[in-house]
Amino acid sequence: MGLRSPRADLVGLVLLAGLGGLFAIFFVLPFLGLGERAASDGRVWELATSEAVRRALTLSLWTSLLSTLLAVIFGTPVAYWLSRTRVRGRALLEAAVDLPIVLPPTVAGVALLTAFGARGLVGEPLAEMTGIRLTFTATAVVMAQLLVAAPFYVRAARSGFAAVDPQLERVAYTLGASRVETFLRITVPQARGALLAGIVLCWARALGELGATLIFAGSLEGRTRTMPLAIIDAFERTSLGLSGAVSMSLILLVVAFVVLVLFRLATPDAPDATAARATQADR
Amino acid sequence: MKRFRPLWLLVLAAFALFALVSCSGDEEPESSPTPTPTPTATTTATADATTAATTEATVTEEALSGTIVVSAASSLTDAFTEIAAAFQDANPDTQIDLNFGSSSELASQIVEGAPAEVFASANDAQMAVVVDAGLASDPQTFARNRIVVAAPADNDLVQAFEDLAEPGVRLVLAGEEVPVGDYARQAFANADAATPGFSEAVLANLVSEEANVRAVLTKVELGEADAGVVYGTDAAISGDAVRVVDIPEDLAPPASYPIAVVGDEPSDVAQAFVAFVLSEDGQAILASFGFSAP
Amino acid sequence: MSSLRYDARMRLGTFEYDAAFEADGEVVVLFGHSGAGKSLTLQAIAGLLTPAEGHIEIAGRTVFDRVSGIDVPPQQRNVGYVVQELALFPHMSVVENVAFGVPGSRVERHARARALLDRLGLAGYEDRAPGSLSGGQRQRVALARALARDVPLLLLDEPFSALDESLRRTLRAELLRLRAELGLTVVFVTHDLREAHLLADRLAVFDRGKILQFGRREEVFHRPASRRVAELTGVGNVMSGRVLRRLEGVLEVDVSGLVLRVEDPEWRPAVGEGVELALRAERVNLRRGAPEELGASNFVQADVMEEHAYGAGFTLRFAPLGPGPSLEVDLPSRPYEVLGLQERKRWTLELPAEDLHVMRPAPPEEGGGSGVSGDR
Repeated sequence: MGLRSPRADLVGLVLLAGLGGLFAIFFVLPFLGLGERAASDGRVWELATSEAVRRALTLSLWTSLLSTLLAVIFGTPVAYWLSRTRVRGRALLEAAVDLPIVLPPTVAGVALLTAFGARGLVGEPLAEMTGIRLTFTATAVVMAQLLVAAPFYVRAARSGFAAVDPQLERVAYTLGASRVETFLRITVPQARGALLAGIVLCWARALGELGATLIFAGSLEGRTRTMPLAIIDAFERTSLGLSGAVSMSLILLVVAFVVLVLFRLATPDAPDATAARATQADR
Repeated sequence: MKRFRPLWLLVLAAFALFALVSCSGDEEPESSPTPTPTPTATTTATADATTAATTEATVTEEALSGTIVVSAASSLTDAFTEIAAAFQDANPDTQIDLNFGSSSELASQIVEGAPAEVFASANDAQMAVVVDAGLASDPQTFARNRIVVAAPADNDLVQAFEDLAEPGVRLVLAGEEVPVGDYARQAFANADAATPGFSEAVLANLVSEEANVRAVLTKVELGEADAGVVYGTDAAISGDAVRVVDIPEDLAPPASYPIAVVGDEPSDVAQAFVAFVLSEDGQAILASFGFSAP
Repeated sequence: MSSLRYDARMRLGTFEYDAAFEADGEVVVLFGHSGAGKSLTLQAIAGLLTPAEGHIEIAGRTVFDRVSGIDVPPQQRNVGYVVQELALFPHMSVVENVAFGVPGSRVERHARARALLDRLGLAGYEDRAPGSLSGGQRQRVALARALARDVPLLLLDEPFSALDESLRRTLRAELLRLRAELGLTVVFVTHDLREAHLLADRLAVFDRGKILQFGRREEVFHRPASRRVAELTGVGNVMSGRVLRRLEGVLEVDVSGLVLRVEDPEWRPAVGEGVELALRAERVNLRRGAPEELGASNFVQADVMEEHAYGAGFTLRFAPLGPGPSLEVDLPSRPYEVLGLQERKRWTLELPAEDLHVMRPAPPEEGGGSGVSGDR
């Protein structure tokens, strides 16, 4: 049977559809399970509105938003520089920035301890001189999230900036625009989609951060126990058990879903930009 | 897509094959040789006393075989690793898979249907969870452990149990529902009788609730915490890095460790393992890791 | 006061660049193959590239001088620069694109932009996205944007290369009209010979980072400075010869056994010296009758060897019957038909003595070849 025969094509198509279907089922089932458990377990609603959950959610939201903001503030210049520099060893630098994406977050947690812990490189002199100890604080939570999540933003922003034609920037210079003005009025709007995607990825990663936080910031209700930590904690407790974990998972799921939908609504695919890209590709 | 590329098809086929294999694999439980009683064993077990001598002989001749999962509290990590090794030496055809975690975590795993043939808990409460779920019966206490305050060797902030209430001490405990965390909180509450407000003052110093006793110990060893409450057995293992501060025995009675076989049809291996833990050999190993006899 | 004085040298890898020219209220075309250094020149003028050495003046103001350390940033050079890709800002409307560089309030900026767009025939397109415009319209927007700031100098880098021929003609005419109206100085980069000829007041012929010749258009086209320039500007016939005799106002040159008279040479080489002769292909006359009947010299009998039709005319290659070089002749379609070239293939070619141009022979290492060292 030749690979070009209509029959082979049909078989391939069916195979593809089958694989895709299985994959889809695999992705849907866990969430169905969660929903089913929540519906059948009477305690889920009561737990969802409990003080512990409220504190964990509050902590999770403000720390993840703060770490995302910090990632944007500190990561944007780095990303832009990486996208434009031709310095030797740039590939090495980019790999270094990407490293936390590849490593398990627990490694990030241990690394943070060795740097900012009570006996860490910076942590020890800091504690001796100022008495400030970072571990077990909300600051540590933000630091853990920043280390683990910021590379997602930097990576997205870097490729977003790299996709902006440097010619646009150069023309803006000749039109009298300063470097900063050009960056804000030309480069950033052009990279807008990538930057927003990076922000959402970074925020999602920060919201879900568990390993590094557990190691570096510990887990204490209201102080360092974010939603993922609270879910783990609930899962280990027999009094709350799976019910608690389910209710908090659902809350996190809803929050994440709402944010993603808002994000999609806020960034409709700009028809102008798409059209421009299409015509440019035409030439 | 006008052309089918052979390579692409190959990748697809490989993917499909992989999916098939992993699906069929899922149908059987992971520990494939489920230790079901052999026919011989069953007959000998139900045989009457007149053939006791034969029975005895058959049991020793008919060597134990199979794999079991033993879920044990993380404070038992080192002791049970050695006990399992000794048991396997004596019964070469058996395999003991050890699963350590906090007793509460293990208990909820077992209740949720995680595979385990034996459960060794660090307190009676978590054993009760499994027993109440009808998954185990007749737990037996096989060891006792006391709790102590562990402090970094190079940090003298906490010299005595009372120092835990001093402001500024960074105290790390295991979670409330982890036995060692529970014992610690009981000890603080007991101290309230002599020193009102002691418990509240100590808990104000709490900076983190860890998932298990080892995590508490690590935070102390690293010097992140000024003190943590752990089992004496754990403190003993970490050696020079940690300084032990005793908790008065009247405030913290030693913890008891119950063990039980899980499931309605306990396997021979599981029963033999429990028996081994309670035997002289097992007790000797436990003693060598700082546990006291029940 | 010139609008532009330019003199710059630099080295980029193995590419050596050295160019100098000036422009004043006219169109200067930088002509040459891609990678010859034309675009580089525009970037250096705009301040996007810093030469290693040199001096650049725009409208009487020094914007770059190596010795005194002056290097005015591109933002303050006040030149209009249209790049080949146009680089319209895709996220801005047409009017926003044009208003981008204009100072003042939003209302003023937009008013200015609208006026310019109107002038360029783009009224009604103000709020469109650049991506929705046709190629010619986009071209006009880019031009309007570059002009929006009242610049004295406009730099255009192959602006019409992506457009079809009829549109290019319209836009060229528009550019010349605009240039005259605004009194602009334009530096125009192209590799298209016809475009260069059409637009240039003065022409700079670039080759491998150097300007081979800079001068008025007719001068460059008819009196190329070297064989290389003659080749680049499509002269058609470049012949090597040797001086036989020097007379009053006339040189006699031997080209492969054919004796050619050259009238009024700018350069008077010695007898026996090697020279190059250039003769534009459209300058060759076709005559009936034998050379002996027609005159003493500069006639040669030849047969058509090759013919290339290119719409408006023909390029013919002739092989001489006797001694002499093969010759290229450009002929418009009408004379081709009137003369009956379809049938008759043997002609006497006249190489007019006043159109023959004497050049110094190229030094041995230069000659021939269009060595292009990468796109720049």
